[in-house]
Amino acid sequence: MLSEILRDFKFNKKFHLFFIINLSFGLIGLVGLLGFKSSFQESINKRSRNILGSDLALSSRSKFSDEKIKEIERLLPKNFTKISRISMFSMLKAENKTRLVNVKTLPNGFPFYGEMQFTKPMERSDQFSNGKTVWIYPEIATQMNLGLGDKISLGHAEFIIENIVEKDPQQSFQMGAMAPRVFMSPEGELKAKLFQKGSTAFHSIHYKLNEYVEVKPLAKKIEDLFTEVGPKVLTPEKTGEQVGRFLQYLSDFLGLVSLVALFLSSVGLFYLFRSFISRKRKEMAIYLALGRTKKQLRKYYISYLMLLGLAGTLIGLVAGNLLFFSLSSLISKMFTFNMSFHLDYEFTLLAFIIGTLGTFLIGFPLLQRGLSSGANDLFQEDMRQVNLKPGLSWFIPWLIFYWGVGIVVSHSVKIGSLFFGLFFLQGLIGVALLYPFFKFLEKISSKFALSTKHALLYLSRHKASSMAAFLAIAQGVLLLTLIPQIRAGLNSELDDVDGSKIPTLFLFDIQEEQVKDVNNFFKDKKTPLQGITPMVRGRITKINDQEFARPEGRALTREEEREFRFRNRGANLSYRSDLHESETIISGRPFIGSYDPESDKLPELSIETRYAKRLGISLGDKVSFEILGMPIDGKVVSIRKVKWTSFHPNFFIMFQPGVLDDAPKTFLGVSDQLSVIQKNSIQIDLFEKFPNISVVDITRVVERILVVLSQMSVAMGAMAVLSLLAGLFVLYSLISHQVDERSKDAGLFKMMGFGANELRSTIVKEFVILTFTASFFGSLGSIIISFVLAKVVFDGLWVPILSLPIIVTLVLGLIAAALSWYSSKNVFKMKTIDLVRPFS
Amino acid sequence: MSLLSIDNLSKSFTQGENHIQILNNLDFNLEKGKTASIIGKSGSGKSTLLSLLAGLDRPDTGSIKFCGQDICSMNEESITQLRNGKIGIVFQQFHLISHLTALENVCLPLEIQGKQNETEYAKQFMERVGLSHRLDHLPSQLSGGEKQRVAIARSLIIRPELLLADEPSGSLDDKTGDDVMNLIFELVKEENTGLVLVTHNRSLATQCDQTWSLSGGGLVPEDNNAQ
Repeated sequence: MLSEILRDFKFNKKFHLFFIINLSFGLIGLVGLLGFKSSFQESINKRSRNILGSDLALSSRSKFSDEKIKEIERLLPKNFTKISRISMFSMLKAENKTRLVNVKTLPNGFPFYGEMQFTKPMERSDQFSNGKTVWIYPEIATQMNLGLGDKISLGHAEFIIENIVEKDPQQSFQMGAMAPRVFMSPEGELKAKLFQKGSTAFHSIHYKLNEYVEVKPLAKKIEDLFTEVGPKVLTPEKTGEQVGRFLQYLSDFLGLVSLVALFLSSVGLFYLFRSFISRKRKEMAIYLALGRTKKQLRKYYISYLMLLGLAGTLIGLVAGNLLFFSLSSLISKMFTFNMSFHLDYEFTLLAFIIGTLGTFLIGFPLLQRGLSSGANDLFQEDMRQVNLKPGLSWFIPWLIFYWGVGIVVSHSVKIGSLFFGLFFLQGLIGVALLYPFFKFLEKISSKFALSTKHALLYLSRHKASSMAAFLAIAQGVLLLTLIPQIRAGLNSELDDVDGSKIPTLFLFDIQEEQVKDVNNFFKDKKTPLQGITPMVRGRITKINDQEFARPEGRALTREEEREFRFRNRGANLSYRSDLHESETIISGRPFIGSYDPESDKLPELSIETRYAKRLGISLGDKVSFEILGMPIDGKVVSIRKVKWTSFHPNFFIMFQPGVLDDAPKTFLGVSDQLSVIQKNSIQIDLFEKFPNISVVDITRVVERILVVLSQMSVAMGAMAVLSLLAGLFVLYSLISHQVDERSKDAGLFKMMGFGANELRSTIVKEFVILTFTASFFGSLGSIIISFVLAKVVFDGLWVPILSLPIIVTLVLGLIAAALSWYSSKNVFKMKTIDLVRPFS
Repeated sequence: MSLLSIDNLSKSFTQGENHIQILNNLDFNLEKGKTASIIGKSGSGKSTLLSLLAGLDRPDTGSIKFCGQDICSMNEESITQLRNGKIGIVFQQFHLISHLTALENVCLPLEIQGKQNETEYAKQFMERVGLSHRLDHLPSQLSGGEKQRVAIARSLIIRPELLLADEPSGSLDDKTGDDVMNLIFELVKEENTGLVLVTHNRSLATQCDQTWSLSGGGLVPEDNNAQ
């Protein structure tokens, strides 16, 4: 049978080529992404112990008590080494510049695993020999124009830059952390007096276990020792997952976008295989008449289909991996993450299954339809006109498969299903809108000259193929134009078009006793400090007396894991009587004055709307907190919407005044918009007077966000381009197929006096109209979606970019014209003489 | 008056190394409004002759004069114009445009001639071929006989001087085939259109004013009363 198939492969070369290229095209994006994921995962796996720097670690916002440490260490194997570290935010000053940095102590001997790499080679034993030196991240050196041997101030002490860290195995891949790291010895930290009461700091204890032990169950046992949720027990595996979470999410999302290309290529495959089967029906009928069974024919054509699927999948696999391989250094640079190319057999198998099974599920229903009527088809005078459309139910397995692929690629039942649902819905809406649209085209066709009339008639009466190409192009255009529109909205939001609202500096860790002085400091600078807001650490323990409990006895899904993490992390609480202008109550009422402890009522709470939704909190609910060991209950009286891009001190949970006033707290505040000179001078003077206060330069954060947005939109744009290319390939397949199919019509038209150029212009007009309207609708869709996203999801400005859809529509129109002009060159192939039987 | 006259017409093909002489020095004449049939076995060259008469192909030697004009010396454009205005063709395989309705198929030659708003006239023609109830049906929704009636209407709507019919009943059952042929004869008579009918059905051929047999590349007149 194989030799028979290979012999048949010599014919219909164009079909085979198109089929294989189409499939491989659909797979390239997905394979490239799976390659990225596997390489990324492999790098994380290999380095997870280096990332943590130890076999096990404990981390908490507060210091661990000696009793607790003893309790924990009783569970550890006897032979272990440990060190304690502290990590906090602080301001670094050098000459006339300051910057927020993340200071991390690095005791001798740490990290236990992995090595840092430095600009100046050094021995590990040289580490901070006298407590007077620090190591800094390269961006600090660049931004503040610092070099080896330069002096910097941190807290109450001065340090010398001993080295610049080029590679830190513990660096997180968060697309550029807000505060670059500075490493110093614990002695150095004591000297600088960085850690004060209320400082935002993380304490950690790292263990090196000198005998083998299963870390995961050990970590679980330690976790069980904590009744409170704040402290974390870290294992290399967990840390690996955490550090790469952002890139995992991004790649999962891009994976979904890549599925659009796969879907579009499936549309192309459906179309190509349908015309193949349509051409083969006569041959099938002859075989059946000659005594071959349907089973034999089915087997033959399934093998045929699978061989094509295999070829397309293999090419897609090779091309996708090559693409990723050639882009890997660029990707590493873009996401500041070193990763080497790794071919994972599981991912390869997944891509392989998607390619081959997908092909089978698309082709099989068509094959069944082709084989349905049998040899009696030979008695039909024109077999090609027999309906070859299988019922929709035949494609249910394919739809389920596609749904499953969405879930696997996104690693989430919810997101995968949502993606599939939206995609399916969008297709249904598209079809529902296209039917009347094609009817309309049909109706108006008679008003046009002959070639336009026939272009419109071809378009409107070949609904299935027109819709397939229409949706493919519209989909690609939508993706391509949507991303820049969303980006433009966010950019404008962050650029603050209305001028003066976004503050320049955000201050935190202001101690209660410093508030007055800091206020005066800013008054002296003639730019009063805004929105001084207290911050109290606490955590939610119960909602309506229901405790948060981890589901027992089963592994958590990604959503459940995230939900659990979200619910159980500590919360920053605050209180104020009036709302800031960036806040709006969307349900409930404002606080009624200050809380009266004598009353039998619960203190009043206001919750941010999305936070409330996520935790399932509604108006009137009772929420219980633990604030520095004290249980406090509150009742939700309002749900607030917060415009976070105001960069004003805002909180998810706000208490009525009079409840937290006596709790230990720190304060936050923001400056007005400042000039660069003002900003630098204020930061330096502030550091001189209040070295413990940390300042975030919002301008820099905004810049960073814009860079991240631009990096993300490049990645998504690349996927969108891939989808659009797949859409164009569908169009090209369709044009070529239609030109083939219409060769007889072309001969007839020519015989009746229709000029060849007119005939060609009919085809060009048809596909230009198709592409133009599809691009238009795709662009319109992107404008509508960007509007909805801006208003509903991002709650911000909507800045439509009209030039982009117009350019894309025009360019695609031109491409369609060129493709159809090129493809229709063969319209002359069918000679009118062929309409009459030759040699009869 | 001579509608169609062919003089010393020859046509050959080369297939690989074989030279096949299909038509050899044919002479033929058809008066205006008259009908002629050409019979012959499969492969005898009937359809080749028809395509030469329709100006779809060029002879090796000889001439084909249509209303006194030698179509062999005309360029492609002039032949197409001539065909569009004066020659109708009916094929065995109907050859309807699949995405156009029956009525639209019939209107098509008029539209190509630049005549718009001829729908009423086309409808009348559809009525004459007995398909007034199938105007908006697509070819896929019509039976073989109905398709051929649409094809006949389409070929005659331009009121051609000559109708070339290539086995018009060849794909139809006897009854439908007879109905279709009767329709063709009836219409060409009403319209005073000349007809060249290519067929291998002798009894059908004898219904024409003259019958010719094509064999071995030569065209020989047959006696319609011989059988």
